[in-house]
Amino acid sequence: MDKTSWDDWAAELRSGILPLAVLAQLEAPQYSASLIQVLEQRGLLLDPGALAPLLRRLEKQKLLTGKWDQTGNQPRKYYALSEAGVEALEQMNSDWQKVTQELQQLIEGDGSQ
Amino acid sequence: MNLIDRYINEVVRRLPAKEREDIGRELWSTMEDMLPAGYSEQEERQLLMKFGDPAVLAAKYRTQPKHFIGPRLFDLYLTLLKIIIPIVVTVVVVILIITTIFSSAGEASVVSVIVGLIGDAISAAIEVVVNVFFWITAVFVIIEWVDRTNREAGKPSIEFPEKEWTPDDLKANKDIPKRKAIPRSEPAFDLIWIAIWLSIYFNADKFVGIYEGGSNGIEMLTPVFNQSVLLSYWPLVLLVVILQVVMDIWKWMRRRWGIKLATFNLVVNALSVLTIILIFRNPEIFAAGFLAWLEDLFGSLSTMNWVVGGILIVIAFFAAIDTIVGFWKAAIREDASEKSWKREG
Repeated sequence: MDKTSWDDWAAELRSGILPLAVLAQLEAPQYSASLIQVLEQRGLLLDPGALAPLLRRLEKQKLLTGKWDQTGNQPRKYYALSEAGVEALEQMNSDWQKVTQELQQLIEGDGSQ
Repeated sequence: MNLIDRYINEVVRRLPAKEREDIGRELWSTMEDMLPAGYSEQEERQLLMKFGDPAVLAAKYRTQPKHFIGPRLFDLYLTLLKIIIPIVVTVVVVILIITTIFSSAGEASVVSVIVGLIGDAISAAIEVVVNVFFWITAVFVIIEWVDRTNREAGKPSIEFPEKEWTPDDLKANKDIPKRKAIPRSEPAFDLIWIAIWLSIYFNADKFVGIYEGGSNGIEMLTPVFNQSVLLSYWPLVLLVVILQVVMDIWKWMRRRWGIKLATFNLVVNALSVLTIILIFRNPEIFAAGFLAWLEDLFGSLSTMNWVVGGILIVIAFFAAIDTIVGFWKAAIREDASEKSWKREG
């Protein structure tokens, strides 16, 4: 097995599902450092630099709302799902479920073919 | 100024000015949050290593990569260059030849005119290629830039009149079999060739002659042709030229031999040869001075008839070959060179 192409695939897979992972985490507002921590712990985020541009893109697409909170000893931007974001999350989740189910059946070879 | 500030400056200076403030604040807050209170420079360095090269991070903020001419436009750009450059070069060279020959007739010797013309043609062709290339590229770069700015501002991108691709397109741009194809250069050079001959025809008495080195350079002793007799054939000559030009345009557009084109070629070739024979059968076509010079040289004019007859036969022979090759290429099947991927067994 070619080591580098394997690594690339693993990274691409994670960056492909990252929007879903982020939206799924934001039903309650969070700031980006806490998101990074959660996603990194679960091994879903290999490159912490990828998160900030993604949050910004999702905010531009109005799937997220971002609010600066000045109350702490330093300002933090809290992100939360918008209404459109809730819809997008549902859609992405059902797509994801379908893909994983079918893929699982393919891999296990349940004899349906 | 600490390392994080420097790092963020490196990122945002690569981004659009109006987004720098927001992105910088977001990055700074994120990074500060990820570090323990009262962090050391060592911890700061480790964090920056995780975020990686600032240029790479900045690139992640751009949804579309920056292109000078993007992939959507590049094909169209190449196609236009390939079509426009040969047309413009041909037109410029033809115009140059006609104007040069008409304007310099009678002034200088034929050698200096031809040498000057070749030099002018080469420099005009280069100049025109550079100009066309520059302007087409400039236009496309501007279109790309406007399109990218639009997309970044969230507006829809430029629509092209292009239709969606369908399998029918495969029938339209089939590869022309090599042996059946007419390269674009063929009608292009033919047009240049026609321009040269037509210009010479109208100025034969000034260019076609017997030359001799004299006291002030090369001088014309006598013209070969009797210009007024030669010019009396102009309606026929013009007809042949028009038919030739029509055929060249046809060749340019169709880019392959077909039975209609081959038949047209037969007509044009026959008419050309007939015109040439008709002109040279006229005993008064040659200038008296030229005939006298010949008689001086050979003692009699009998060899002259043989030479003229021989030249006419050679011309007719090549016209016949050209006609036959046209029909032969027209008979080649259109799909002869189409590669089939189907394998038996």
